[in-house]
Amino acid sequence: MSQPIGTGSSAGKGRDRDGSPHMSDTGLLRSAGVRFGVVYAVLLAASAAALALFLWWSTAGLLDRQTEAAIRADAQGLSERWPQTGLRGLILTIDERLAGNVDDDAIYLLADPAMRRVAGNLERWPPIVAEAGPYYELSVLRAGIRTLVRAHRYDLPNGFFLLIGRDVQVRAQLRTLLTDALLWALVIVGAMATAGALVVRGLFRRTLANVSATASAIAAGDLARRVRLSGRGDEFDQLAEVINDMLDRIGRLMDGVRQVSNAIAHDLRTPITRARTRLEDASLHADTKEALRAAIDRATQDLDGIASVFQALLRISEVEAGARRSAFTQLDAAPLLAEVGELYDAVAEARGVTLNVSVPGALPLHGDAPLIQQAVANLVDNAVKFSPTGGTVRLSAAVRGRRVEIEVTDQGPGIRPDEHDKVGQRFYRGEAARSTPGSGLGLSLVRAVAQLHGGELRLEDASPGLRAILSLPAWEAMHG
Amino acid sequence: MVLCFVLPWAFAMAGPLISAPATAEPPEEPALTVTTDTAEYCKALSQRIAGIISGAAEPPSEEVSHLLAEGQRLCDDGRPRPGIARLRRVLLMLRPPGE
Repeated sequence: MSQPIGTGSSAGKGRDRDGSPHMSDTGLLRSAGVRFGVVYAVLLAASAAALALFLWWSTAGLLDRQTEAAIRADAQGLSERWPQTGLRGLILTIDERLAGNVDDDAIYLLADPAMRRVAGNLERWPPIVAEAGPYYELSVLRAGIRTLVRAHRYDLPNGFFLLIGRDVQVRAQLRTLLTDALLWALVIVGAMATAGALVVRGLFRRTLANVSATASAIAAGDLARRVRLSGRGDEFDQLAEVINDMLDRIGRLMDGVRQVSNAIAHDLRTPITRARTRLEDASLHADTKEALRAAIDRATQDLDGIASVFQALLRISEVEAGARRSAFTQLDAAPLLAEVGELYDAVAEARGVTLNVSVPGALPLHGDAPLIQQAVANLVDNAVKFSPTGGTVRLSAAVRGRRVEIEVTDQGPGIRPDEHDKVGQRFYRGEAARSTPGSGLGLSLVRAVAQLHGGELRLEDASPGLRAILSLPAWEAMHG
Repeated sequence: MVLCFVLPWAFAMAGPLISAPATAEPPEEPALTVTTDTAEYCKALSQRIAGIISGAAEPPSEEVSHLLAEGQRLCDDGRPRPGIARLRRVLLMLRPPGE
Protein backbone atom coordinates (compact mmCIF):
# COMPACT_ATOMS: atom_id res chain seq x y z
CA MET A 1 0.00 0.00 0.00
CA SER A 2 1.40 3.35 -0.94
CA GLN A 3 2.12 5.79 1.80
CA PRO A 4 0.66 9.26 1.80
CA ILE A 5 2.88 12.13 0.80
CA GLY A 6 4.87 13.63 3.59
CA THR A 7 4.49 10.73 6.01
CA GLY A 8 6.65 7.67 6.49
CA SER A 9 8.09 7.67 3.00
CA SER A 10 9.93 10.91 3.65
CA ALA A 11 12.04 9.52 6.44
CA GLY A 12 15.40 11.21 6.52
CA LYS A 13 14.08 14.19 4.65
CA GLY A 14 12.18 17.14 6.01
CA ARG A 15 10.15 19.88 4.51
CA ASP A 16 10.89 23.57 4.29
CA ARG A 17 8.35 26.11 5.35
CA ASP A 18 7.20 26.46 1.75
CA GLY A 19 6.40 22.78 1.66
CA SER A 20 9.31 21.79 -0.54
CA PRO A 21 11.43 18.92 0.64
CA HIS A 22 14.91 19.80 1.89
CA MET A 23 17.71 17.35 1.54
CA SER A 24 20.38 16.40 3.95
CA ASP A 25 23.96 16.75 2.76
CA THR A 26 24.21 13.04 2.08
CA GLY A 27 21.05 13.13 0.00
CA LEU A 28 22.02 16.28 -1.86
CA LEU A 29 22.77 14.51 -5.11
CA ARG A 30 19.44 12.73 -4.90
CA SER A 31 17.74 16.10 -5.22
CA ALA A 32 16.40 16.64 -8.74
CA GLY A 33 16.92 20.38 -8.28
CA VAL A 34 20.59 19.88 -7.52
CA ARG A 35 20.93 17.53 -10.47
CA PHE A 36 19.32 20.05 -12.82
CA GLY A 37 21.64 22.72 -11.46
CA VAL A 38 24.69 20.53 -11.89
CA VAL A 39 23.67 19.56 -15.42
CA TYR A 40 23.19 23.25 -16.25
CA ALA A 41 26.60 24.13 -14.81
CA VAL A 42 28.36 21.26 -16.56
CA LEU A 43 26.76 22.05 -19.90
CA LEU A 44 27.63 25.73 -19.61
CA ALA A 45 31.20 24.99 -18.52
CA ALA A 46 31.65 22.39 -21.27
CA SER A 47 30.33 24.81 -23.88
CA ALA A 48 32.63 27.55 -22.63
CA ALA A 49 35.60 25.17 -22.57
CA ALA A 50 34.86 24.06 -26.12
CA LEU A 51 34.64 27.69 -27.21
CA ALA A 52 37.89 28.54 -25.43
CA LEU A 53 39.58 25.55 -27.03
CA PHE A 54 38.43 26.67 -30.45
CA LEU A 55 39.61 30.23 -29.80
CA TRP A 56 42.94 28.91 -28.63
CA TRP A 57 43.30 26.67 -31.66
CA SER A 58 42.39 29.48 -34.03
CA THR A 59 44.69 32.09 -32.46
CA ALA A 60 47.60 30.84 -30.38
CA GLY A 61 47.57 27.53 -32.21
CA LEU A 62 47.55 29.39 -35.51
CA LEU A 63 50.63 31.36 -34.50
CA ASP A 64 52.47 28.13 -33.69
CA ARG A 65 51.35 26.55 -36.93
CA GLN A 66 52.48 29.62 -38.91
CA THR A 67 55.91 29.49 -37.27
CA GLU A 68 56.28 25.81 -38.02
CA ALA A 69 55.13 26.35 -41.61
CA ALA A 70 57.72 29.11 -42.07
CA ILE A 71 60.45 26.85 -40.68
CA ARG A 72 59.40 23.98 -42.96
CA ALA A 73 59.35 26.27 -46.01
CA ASP A 74 62.77 27.61 -45.09
CA ALA A 75 64.13 24.10 -44.65
CA GLN A 76 62.74 22.99 -47.97
CA GLY A 77 64.39 25.93 -49.75
CA LEU A 78 67.75 25.22 -48.13
CA SER A 79 67.57 21.48 -48.76
CA GLU A 80 67.00 22.18 -52.43
CA ARG A 81 70.21 24.27 -52.47
CA TRP A 82 72.35 21.51 -50.98
CA PRO A 83 72.48 19.18 -54.02
CA GLN A 84 73.12 22.15 -56.36
CA THR A 85 75.75 24.09 -54.48
CA GLY A 86 76.94 21.80 -51.75
CA LEU A 87 78.17 22.94 -48.36
CA ARG A 88 79.68 26.18 -49.61
CA GLY A 89 76.49 27.17 -51.38
CA LEU A 90 74.46 26.37 -48.33
CA ILE A 91 76.69 28.55 -46.15
CA LEU A 92 76.32 31.44 -48.60
CA THR A 93 72.57 30.98 -48.74
CA ILE A 94 72.31 31.07 -44.95
CA ASP A 95 74.40 34.24 -44.86
CA GLU A 96 72.20 35.78 -47.56
CA ARG A 97 69.03 34.91 -45.69
CA LEU A 98 70.37 36.32 -42.46
CA ALA A 99 71.43 39.50 -44.20
CA GLY A 100 68.04 39.90 -45.80
CA ASN A 101 66.03 38.99 -42.70
CA VAL A 102 64.21 42.27 -42.34
CA ASP A 103 61.82 40.76 -39.77
CA ASP A 104 64.87 40.03 -37.61
CA ASP A 105 63.44 36.72 -36.43
CA ALA A 106 65.41 34.06 -38.30
CA ILE A 107 67.75 31.67 -36.50
CA TYR A 108 70.09 29.37 -38.47
CA LEU A 109 72.89 27.12 -37.38
CA LEU A 110 74.78 24.78 -39.69
CA ALA A 111 76.99 22.34 -37.76
CA ASP A 112 79.52 19.75 -38.85
CA PRO A 113 79.41 16.12 -37.71
CA ALA A 114 81.21 17.13 -34.52
CA MET A 115 78.44 19.66 -33.82
CA ARG A 116 80.81 22.57 -34.39
CA ARG A 117 79.33 25.71 -35.83
CA VAL A 118 79.94 26.14 -39.56
CA ALA A 119 77.51 28.94 -40.40
CA GLY A 120 74.49 30.74 -38.97
CA ASN A 121 73.75 33.16 -36.18
CA LEU A 122 73.82 30.91 -33.10
CA GLU A 123 77.13 30.75 -31.31
CA ARG A 124 76.95 26.96 -30.72
CA TRP A 125 74.68 23.97 -31.09
CA PRO A 126 72.08 23.81 -28.29
CA PRO A 127 72.54 20.55 -26.36
CA ILE A 128 68.81 19.89 -25.90
CA VAL A 129 68.22 19.69 -29.66
CA ALA A 130 69.05 16.01 -29.91
CA GLU A 131 66.50 14.72 -32.41
CA ALA A 132 65.21 15.72 -35.82
CA GLY A 133 61.57 15.06 -35.04
CA PRO A 134 60.16 17.52 -32.53
CA TYR A 135 60.13 21.29 -32.36
CA TYR A 136 62.21 22.76 -29.55
CA GLU A 137 61.77 25.97 -27.62
CA LEU A 138 65.14 27.50 -26.85
CA SER A 139 66.06 30.39 -24.66
CA VAL A 140 68.62 32.63 -26.39
CA LEU A 141 70.24 35.97 -25.72
CA ARG A 142 69.64 38.69 -28.23
CA ALA A 143 71.63 41.84 -27.53
CA GLY A 144 71.70 40.79 -23.90
CA ILE A 145 67.99 40.13 -23.66
CA ARG A 146 66.65 36.62 -23.17
CA THR A 147 64.11 35.63 -25.80
CA LEU A 148 62.34 32.49 -26.91
CA VAL A 149 63.13 30.64 -30.13
CA ARG A 150 61.16 27.81 -31.68
CA ALA A 151 63.48 25.59 -33.67
CA HIS A 152 63.71 22.33 -35.59
CA ARG A 153 66.67 20.15 -36.42
CA TYR A 154 67.32 18.77 -39.91
CA ASP A 155 69.92 16.13 -40.59
CA LEU A 156 71.90 16.81 -43.78
CA PRO A 157 74.02 14.47 -45.90
CA ASN A 158 77.63 13.80 -44.82
CA GLY A 159 76.74 14.08 -41.14
CA PHE A 160 75.98 17.83 -41.17
CA PHE A 161 73.18 19.26 -39.10
CA LEU A 162 71.00 22.26 -39.70
CA LEU A 163 69.00 24.10 -37.07
CA ILE A 164 66.29 26.46 -38.31
CA GLY A 165 64.28 28.55 -35.93
CA ARG A 166 62.21 31.64 -35.44
CA ASP A 167 62.24 34.21 -32.68
CA VAL A 168 58.76 33.76 -31.14
CA GLN A 169 59.15 36.02 -28.14
CA VAL A 170 56.45 38.44 -29.27
CA ARG A 171 54.16 35.58 -30.24
CA ALA A 172 54.84 33.89 -26.91
CA GLN A 173 53.86 37.07 -25.09
CA LEU A 174 50.74 37.29 -27.20
CA ARG A 175 49.99 33.66 -26.46
CA THR A 176 50.47 34.26 -22.75
CA LEU A 177 48.07 37.18 -22.86
CA LEU A 178 45.57 35.10 -24.77
CA THR A 179 45.94 32.19 -22.40
CA ASP A 180 45.44 34.44 -19.40
CA ALA A 181 42.36 35.98 -20.98
CA LEU A 182 40.88 32.58 -21.80
CA LEU A 183 41.61 31.21 -18.34
CA TRP A 184 40.02 34.25 -16.74
CA ALA A 185 37.06 33.82 -19.05
CA LEU A 186 36.80 30.19 -17.96
CA VAL A 187 36.94 31.22 -14.31
CA ILE A 188 34.17 33.75 -14.89
CA VAL A 189 32.16 31.19 -16.80
CA GLY A 190 32.71 28.73 -13.96
CA ALA A 191 31.45 31.31 -11.49
CA MET A 192 28.50 32.11 -13.74
CA ALA A 193 27.79 28.41 -14.14
CA THR A 194 27.84 27.94 -10.38
CA ALA A 195 25.57 30.92 -9.86
CA GLY A 196 23.31 29.78 -12.70
CA ALA A 197 23.16 26.30 -11.21
CA LEU A 198 22.08 27.76 -7.88
CA VAL A 199 19.45 29.88 -9.62
CA VAL A 200 18.19 26.90 -11.63
CA ARG A 201 18.04 24.80 -8.48
CA GLY A 202 16.16 27.58 -6.69
CA LEU A 203 13.69 27.98 -9.55
CA PHE A 204 13.17 24.25 -9.68
CA ARG A 205 12.60 24.04 -5.95
CA ARG A 206 10.23 27.01 -5.95
CA THR A 207 8.23 25.58 -8.82
CA LEU A 208 8.00 22.14 -7.28
CA ALA A 209 7.28 23.62 -3.86
CA ASN A 210 3.98 24.89 -5.23
CA VAL A 211 2.96 21.42 -6.44
CA SER A 212 4.40 19.73 -3.37
CA ALA A 213 2.57 22.06 -0.98
CA THR A 214 -0.70 21.40 -2.80
CA ALA A 215 -0.15 17.63 -2.69
CA SER A 216 0.68 17.84 1.03
CA ALA A 217 -2.42 19.90 1.73
CA ILE A 218 -4.61 17.44 -0.16
CA ALA A 219 -2.96 14.54 1.65
CA ALA A 220 -3.77 16.34 4.90
CA GLY A 221 -7.43 16.54 3.92
CA ASP A 222 -7.76 19.93 2.24
CA LEU A 223 -9.33 18.61 -0.96
CA ALA A 224 -10.23 22.08 -2.19
CA ARG A 225 -6.58 23.13 -2.50
CA ARG A 226 -5.26 23.66 -6.05
CA VAL A 227 -1.85 24.33 -7.62
CA ARG A 228 -1.23 28.07 -8.10
CA LEU A 229 -0.73 29.25 -11.67
CA SER A 230 2.00 31.78 -12.36
CA GLY A 231 0.03 33.25 -15.25
CA ARG A 232 2.96 32.92 -17.63
CA GLY A 233 1.33 30.06 -19.50
CA ASP A 234 4.57 28.10 -19.56
CA GLU A 235 5.08 24.35 -19.21
CA PHE A 236 4.78 24.55 -15.43
CA ASP A 237 1.47 26.36 -15.76
CA GLN A 238 0.32 23.71 -18.22
CA LEU A 239 1.36 21.02 -15.74
CA ALA A 240 -0.44 22.85 -12.95
CA GLU A 241 -3.58 23.09 -15.09
CA VAL A 242 -3.43 19.36 -15.82
CA ILE A 243 -2.97 18.59 -12.12
CA ASN A 244 -5.83 20.91 -11.19
CA ASP A 245 -8.08 19.34 -13.84
CA MET A 246 -7.16 15.94 -12.47
CA LEU A 247 -7.96 17.07 -8.93
CA ASP A 248 -11.28 18.54 -10.10
CA ARG A 249 -12.19 15.30 -11.81
CA ILE A 250 -11.19 13.27 -8.75
CA GLY A 251 -13.32 15.64 -6.66
CA ARG A 252 -16.29 15.15 -8.96
CA LEU A 253 -15.85 11.39 -8.90
CA MET A 254 -15.64 11.41 -5.12
CA ASP A 255 -18.76 13.56 -4.96
CA GLY A 256 -20.49 11.12 -7.27
CA VAL A 257 -19.43 8.14 -5.19
CA ARG A 258 -20.54 9.94 -2.05
CA GLN A 259 -23.85 10.85 -3.63
CA VAL A 260 -24.47 7.28 -4.84
CA SER A 261 -23.50 5.90 -1.43
CA ASN A 262 -25.88 8.29 0.27
CA ALA A 263 -28.61 7.50 -2.24
CA ILE A 264 -28.16 3.76 -1.79
CA ALA A 265 -28.25 4.13 1.98
CA HIS A 266 -31.29 6.38 1.80
CA ASP A 267 -33.27 4.38 -0.75
CA LEU A 268 -32.59 1.00 0.77
CA ARG A 269 -33.10 1.97 4.39
CA THR A 270 -36.86 2.40 3.97
CA PRO A 271 -37.67 -1.01 2.41
CA ILE A 272 -35.22 -2.82 4.71
CA THR A 273 -36.72 -1.14 7.77
CA ARG A 274 -40.18 -1.88 6.47
CA ALA A 275 -39.37 -5.54 5.90
CA ARG A 276 -37.78 -5.81 9.34
CA THR A 277 -40.76 -4.17 11.00
CA ARG A 278 -43.20 -6.45 9.20
CA LEU A 279 -41.25 -9.55 10.16
CA GLU A 280 -40.92 -8.39 13.75
CA ASP A 281 -44.58 -7.51 13.90
CA ALA A 282 -45.53 -10.88 12.47
CA SER A 283 -43.23 -12.66 14.89
CA LEU A 284 -44.83 -10.91 17.86
CA HIS A 285 -48.40 -10.62 16.81
CA ALA A 286 -49.30 -13.04 14.03
CA ASP A 287 -52.01 -15.31 15.37
CA THR A 288 -52.49 -17.52 12.42
CA LYS A 289 -50.35 -19.30 9.96
CA GLU A 290 -51.88 -17.29 7.08
CA ALA A 291 -51.14 -13.96 8.73
CA LEU A 292 -47.53 -15.04 9.26
CA ARG A 293 -47.20 -16.17 5.64
CA ALA A 294 -48.71 -12.90 4.38
CA ALA A 295 -46.21 -10.90 6.42
CA ILE A 296 -43.32 -12.97 5.07
CA ASP A 297 -44.60 -12.50 1.49
CA ARG A 298 -44.73 -8.73 1.92
CA ALA A 299 -41.23 -8.70 3.41
CA THR A 300 -40.04 -10.82 0.50
CA GLN A 301 -41.49 -8.27 -1.93
CA ASP A 302 -39.60 -5.53 -0.15
CA LEU A 303 -36.40 -7.52 -0.36
CA ASP A 304 -37.05 -8.26 -4.06
CA GLY A 305 -37.31 -4.51 -4.60
CA ILE A 306 -33.94 -4.06 -2.93
CA ALA A 307 -32.47 -6.84 -5.06
CA SER A 308 -33.84 -5.18 -8.20
CA VAL A 309 -32.16 -1.90 -7.26
CA PHE A 310 -28.83 -3.65 -6.90
CA GLN A 311 -29.44 -5.49 -10.16
CA ALA A 312 -30.14 -2.18 -11.91
CA LEU A 313 -26.98 -0.67 -10.44
CA LEU A 314 -24.91 -3.61 -11.60
CA ARG A 315 -26.50 -3.43 -15.04
CA ILE A 316 -25.66 0.28 -15.38
CA SER A 317 -22.08 -0.37 -14.29
CA GLU A 318 -21.82 -3.20 -16.77
CA VAL A 319 -23.14 -1.02 -19.58
CA GLU A 320 -20.87 1.89 -18.66
CA ALA A 321 -17.87 -0.43 -18.62
CA GLY A 322 -18.61 -1.32 -22.24
CA ALA A 323 -18.46 -5.04 -21.55
CA ARG A 324 -21.58 -5.63 -23.65
CA ARG A 325 -20.08 -4.10 -26.78
CA SER A 326 -18.78 -7.49 -27.90
CA ALA A 327 -22.40 -8.67 -28.16
CA PHE A 328 -23.34 -6.02 -30.74
CA THR A 329 -25.05 -7.26 -33.88
CA GLN A 330 -26.89 -5.74 -36.79
CA LEU A 331 -30.54 -5.53 -35.79
CA ASP A 332 -33.87 -4.01 -36.68
CA ALA A 333 -35.24 -2.06 -33.71
CA ALA A 334 -38.79 -1.85 -35.11
CA PRO A 335 -39.95 -5.26 -33.79
CA LEU A 336 -38.32 -4.50 -30.44
CA LEU A 337 -40.33 -1.30 -30.12
CA ALA A 338 -43.52 -3.08 -31.16
CA GLU A 339 -42.92 -5.67 -28.43
CA VAL A 340 -42.46 -2.92 -25.85
CA GLY A 341 -45.69 -1.32 -27.08
CA GLU A 342 -47.56 -4.58 -26.67
CA LEU A 343 -46.04 -5.18 -23.25
CA TYR A 344 -47.01 -1.78 -21.88
CA ASP A 345 -50.37 -1.51 -23.62
CA ALA A 346 -52.09 -3.41 -20.82
CA VAL A 347 -50.22 -1.52 -18.12
CA ALA A 348 -51.17 1.80 -19.66
CA GLU A 349 -54.75 0.74 -20.03
CA ALA A 350 -54.90 -0.27 -16.39
CA ARG A 351 -53.78 3.25 -15.45
CA GLY A 352 -56.26 4.88 -17.78
CA VAL A 353 -53.54 6.02 -20.18
CA THR A 354 -53.59 5.64 -23.95
CA LEU A 355 -50.42 4.28 -25.51
CA ASN A 356 -49.95 5.11 -29.19
CA VAL A 357 -47.19 3.23 -30.98
CA SER A 358 -45.98 4.48 -34.36
CA VAL A 359 -43.02 2.50 -35.68
CA PRO A 360 -41.81 2.48 -39.32
CA GLY A 361 -41.03 -0.66 -41.26
CA ALA A 362 -37.34 -0.91 -40.39
CA LEU A 363 -34.96 0.75 -37.92
CA PRO A 364 -31.49 -0.58 -38.75
CA LEU A 365 -29.14 -0.43 -35.78
CA HIS A 366 -25.91 -2.01 -34.66
CA GLY A 367 -26.05 -2.85 -31.00
CA ASP A 368 -27.31 -4.99 -28.20
CA ALA A 369 -31.03 -5.72 -28.79
CA PRO A 370 -31.98 -6.57 -25.17
CA LEU A 371 -30.29 -3.40 -23.90
CA ILE A 372 -32.02 -1.19 -26.47
CA GLN A 373 -35.34 -2.82 -25.67
CA GLN A 374 -34.70 -2.33 -21.93
CA ALA A 375 -33.88 1.37 -22.49
CA VAL A 376 -37.07 1.96 -24.52
CA ALA A 377 -39.09 0.05 -21.93
CA ASN A 378 -37.68 2.31 -19.19
CA LEU A 379 -38.74 5.39 -21.15
CA VAL A 380 -42.25 4.04 -21.76
CA ASP A 381 -42.52 2.88 -18.14
CA ASN A 382 -41.64 6.38 -16.92
CA ALA A 383 -44.07 7.99 -19.37
CA VAL A 384 -46.96 5.74 -18.33
CA LYS A 385 -46.12 6.16 -14.66
CA PHE A 386 -46.10 9.95 -14.78
CA SER A 387 -49.02 10.45 -17.21
CA PRO A 388 -52.28 11.58 -15.66
CA THR A 389 -55.35 9.43 -16.02
CA GLY A 390 -56.81 10.00 -19.47
CA GLY A 391 -53.47 11.09 -20.82
CA THR A 392 -51.71 9.81 -23.91
CA VAL A 393 -48.23 8.34 -24.31
CA ARG A 394 -46.72 8.24 -27.79
CA LEU A 395 -43.97 5.84 -28.76
CA SER A 396 -42.63 6.64 -32.20
CA ALA A 397 -39.41 6.18 -34.12
CA ALA A 398 -37.91 7.39 -37.38
CA VAL A 399 -34.70 7.34 -39.35
CA ARG A 400 -33.46 10.93 -39.53
CA GLY A 401 -30.35 11.38 -41.60
CA ARG A 402 -27.82 8.91 -40.31
CA ARG A 403 -29.53 8.37 -36.99
CA VAL A 404 -32.42 6.38 -35.64
CA GLU A 405 -34.46 8.47 -33.22
CA ILE A 406 -36.90 6.82 -30.82
CA GLU A 407 -39.27 9.27 -29.14
CA VAL A 408 -41.45 8.72 -26.09
CA THR A 409 -43.81 11.59 -25.29
CA ASP A 410 -46.12 11.86 -22.30
CA GLN A 411 -48.45 14.45 -20.85
CA GLY A 412 -47.15 14.26 -17.30
CA PRO A 413 -45.57 16.97 -15.16
CA GLY A 414 -42.34 16.89 -17.21
CA ILE A 415 -38.86 17.71 -15.97
CA ARG A 416 -37.57 21.23 -15.41
CA PRO A 417 -34.90 22.19 -18.01
CA ASP A 418 -32.32 22.75 -15.26
CA GLU A 419 -32.82 19.14 -14.18
CA HIS A 420 -32.33 17.59 -17.62
CA ASP A 421 -28.62 16.98 -17.08
CA LYS A 422 -29.10 15.58 -13.59
CA VAL A 423 -31.74 12.97 -14.32
CA GLY A 424 -29.08 10.72 -15.85
CA GLN A 425 -27.30 10.51 -12.51
CA ARG A 426 -27.92 7.44 -10.40
CA PHE A 427 -30.77 7.83 -7.89
CA TYR A 428 -31.51 11.38 -8.98
CA ARG A 429 -35.22 12.09 -8.83
CA GLY A 430 -36.71 15.30 -10.16
CA GLU A 431 -38.98 17.56 -8.16
CA ALA A 432 -42.11 16.23 -9.83
CA ALA A 433 -41.10 12.59 -9.31
CA ARG A 434 -40.48 12.66 -5.58
CA SER A 435 -44.01 11.49 -4.77
CA THR A 436 -43.99 8.69 -7.34
CA PRO A 437 -42.51 5.28 -6.53
CA GLY A 438 -39.23 4.58 -8.26
CA SER A 439 -35.53 4.12 -7.76
CA GLY A 440 -34.12 6.97 -9.85
CA LEU A 441 -32.12 4.50 -11.93
CA GLY A 442 -34.30 4.18 -15.03
CA LEU A 443 -32.97 7.15 -16.98
CA SER A 444 -29.43 6.39 -15.76
CA LEU A 445 -29.62 3.08 -17.58
CA VAL A 446 -31.09 4.72 -20.70
CA ARG A 447 -28.32 7.28 -20.80
CA ALA A 448 -25.68 4.56 -20.27
CA VAL A 449 -27.18 2.46 -23.10
CA ALA A 450 -27.21 5.51 -25.40
CA GLN A 451 -23.57 6.26 -24.67
CA LEU A 452 -22.60 2.62 -25.14
CA HIS A 453 -24.09 2.74 -28.65
CA GLY A 454 -22.49 6.06 -29.51
CA GLY A 455 -25.80 7.88 -29.19
CA GLU A 456 -27.44 10.25 -26.74
CA LEU A 457 -30.57 10.79 -24.67
CA ARG A 458 -32.25 14.16 -25.16
CA LEU A 459 -35.06 15.48 -23.01
CA GLU A 460 -37.38 18.17 -24.33
CA ASP A 461 -40.40 19.98 -23.02
CA ALA A 462 -43.54 18.59 -24.78
CA SER A 463 -45.87 21.30 -23.34
CA PRO A 464 -47.35 19.63 -21.48
CA GLY A 465 -45.27 16.66 -20.59
CA LEU A 466 -41.86 15.39 -21.52
CA ARG A 467 -40.40 14.19 -24.78
CA ALA A 468 -37.50 11.76 -24.35
CA ILE A 469 -35.52 11.11 -27.53
CA LEU A 470 -33.12 8.19 -27.72
CA SER A 471 -30.89 8.99 -30.69
CA LEU A 472 -28.67 6.18 -31.97
CA PRO A 473 -26.41 5.90 -35.04
CA ALA A 474 -28.12 4.00 -37.86
CA TRP A 475 -26.45 0.86 -39.22
CA GLU A 476 -25.72 2.53 -42.60
CA ALA A 477 -24.15 5.50 -40.84
CA MET A 478 -21.74 3.20 -39.04
CA HIS A 479 -20.89 0.91 -41.93
CA GLY A 480 -22.00 2.75 -45.07
CA MET B 1 23.01 38.31 -5.68
CA VAL B 2 24.55 34.87 -5.93
CA LEU B 3 27.29 36.26 -8.16
CA CYS B 4 28.34 38.62 -5.37
CA PHE B 5 29.43 35.59 -3.42
CA VAL B 6 30.66 33.40 -6.23
CA LEU B 7 32.76 35.79 -8.30
CA PRO B 8 35.13 37.05 -5.59
CA TRP B 9 35.69 33.50 -4.46
CA ALA B 10 36.40 32.37 -8.01
CA PHE B 11 38.83 35.21 -8.62
CA ALA B 12 40.59 34.62 -5.34
CA MET B 13 41.01 30.94 -6.10
CA ALA B 14 42.00 31.37 -9.72
CA GLY B 15 44.31 34.37 -9.41
CA PRO B 16 47.42 32.51 -8.30
CA LEU B 17 46.88 29.91 -10.99
CA ILE B 18 46.51 32.38 -13.81
CA SER B 19 49.31 34.68 -12.83
CA ALA B 20 51.68 31.82 -13.51
CA PRO B 21 53.08 31.93 -17.06
CA ALA B 22 50.92 30.06 -19.50
CA THR B 23 53.83 28.70 -21.47
CA ALA B 24 56.39 26.58 -19.70
CA GLU B 25 59.79 28.12 -19.50
CA PRO B 26 62.43 26.06 -21.22
CA PRO B 27 64.85 24.41 -18.85
CA GLU B 28 67.47 26.75 -17.45
CA GLU B 29 70.85 26.34 -19.11
CA PRO B 30 73.59 28.70 -20.24
CA ALA B 31 71.80 30.84 -22.79
CA LEU B 32 72.96 30.73 -26.39
CA THR B 33 73.89 34.03 -27.95
CA VAL B 34 72.60 35.17 -31.31
CA THR B 35 75.52 36.47 -33.29
CA THR B 36 73.56 38.68 -35.67
CA ASP B 37 72.63 41.16 -32.94
CA THR B 38 76.15 42.40 -32.36
CA ALA B 39 78.16 45.43 -33.39
CA GLU B 40 80.46 43.09 -35.33
CA TYR B 41 77.58 41.89 -37.48
CA CYS B 42 76.53 45.49 -37.91
CA LYS B 43 80.02 46.29 -39.21
CA ALA B 44 79.98 43.24 -41.48
CA LEU B 45 76.65 44.34 -42.97
CA SER B 46 77.98 47.90 -43.47
CA GLN B 47 81.00 46.55 -45.33
CA ARG B 48 78.79 44.35 -47.46
CA ILE B 49 76.61 47.33 -48.36
CA ALA B 50 79.65 49.47 -49.10
CA GLY B 51 80.89 46.77 -51.49
CA ILE B 52 77.60 46.70 -53.32
CA ILE B 53 77.43 50.49 -53.59
CA SER B 54 80.98 50.81 -54.83
CA GLY B 55 80.37 48.18 -57.52
CA ALA B 56 77.17 49.81 -58.68
CA ALA B 57 77.00 51.97 -61.79
CA GLU B 58 74.89 54.61 -60.14
CA PRO B 59 75.15 56.27 -56.76
CA PRO B 60 72.64 55.13 -54.13
CA SER B 61 69.36 56.89 -53.73
CA GLU B 62 68.79 59.44 -51.04
CA GLU B 63 66.59 57.03 -49.12
CA VAL B 64 69.24 54.31 -49.17
CA SER B 65 71.91 56.76 -48.05
CA HIS B 66 69.69 58.03 -45.26
CA LEU B 67 68.82 54.53 -44.03
CA LEU B 68 72.45 53.46 -44.23
CA ALA B 69 73.62 56.44 -42.24
CA GLU B 70 70.89 55.94 -39.66
CA GLY B 71 71.72 52.26 -39.31
CA GLN B 72 75.41 52.92 -38.84
CA ARG B 73 74.67 55.67 -36.32
CA LEU B 74 72.43 53.35 -34.27
CA CYS B 75 75.13 50.65 -34.30
CA ASP B 76 77.72 53.21 -33.21
CA ASP B 77 75.37 54.33 -30.43
CA GLY B 78 75.29 50.80 -29.02
CA ARG B 79 71.86 49.87 -30.40
CA PRO B 80 72.84 47.16 -32.84
CA ARG B 81 69.41 45.52 -33.37
CA PRO B 82 67.59 48.60 -34.78
CA GLY B 83 70.75 49.50 -36.64
CA ILE B 84 70.98 46.06 -38.22
CA ALA B 85 67.29 46.19 -39.11
CA ARG B 86 67.88 49.38 -41.13
CA LEU B 87 70.97 47.98 -42.80
CA ARG B 88 68.99 44.89 -43.81
CA ARG B 89 66.38 47.14 -45.40
CA VAL B 90 69.18 48.91 -47.28
CA LEU B 91 70.41 45.56 -48.56
CA LEU B 92 66.92 44.72 -49.67
CA MET B 93 66.62 48.01 -51.53
CA LEU B 94 69.97 47.49 -53.24
CA ARG B 95 69.05 44.09 -54.58
CA PRO B 96 68.49 43.98 -58.31
CA PRO B 97 64.79 43.79 -59.18
CA GLY B 98 63.53 40.21 -59.48
CA GLU B 99 66.24 38.65 -57.33
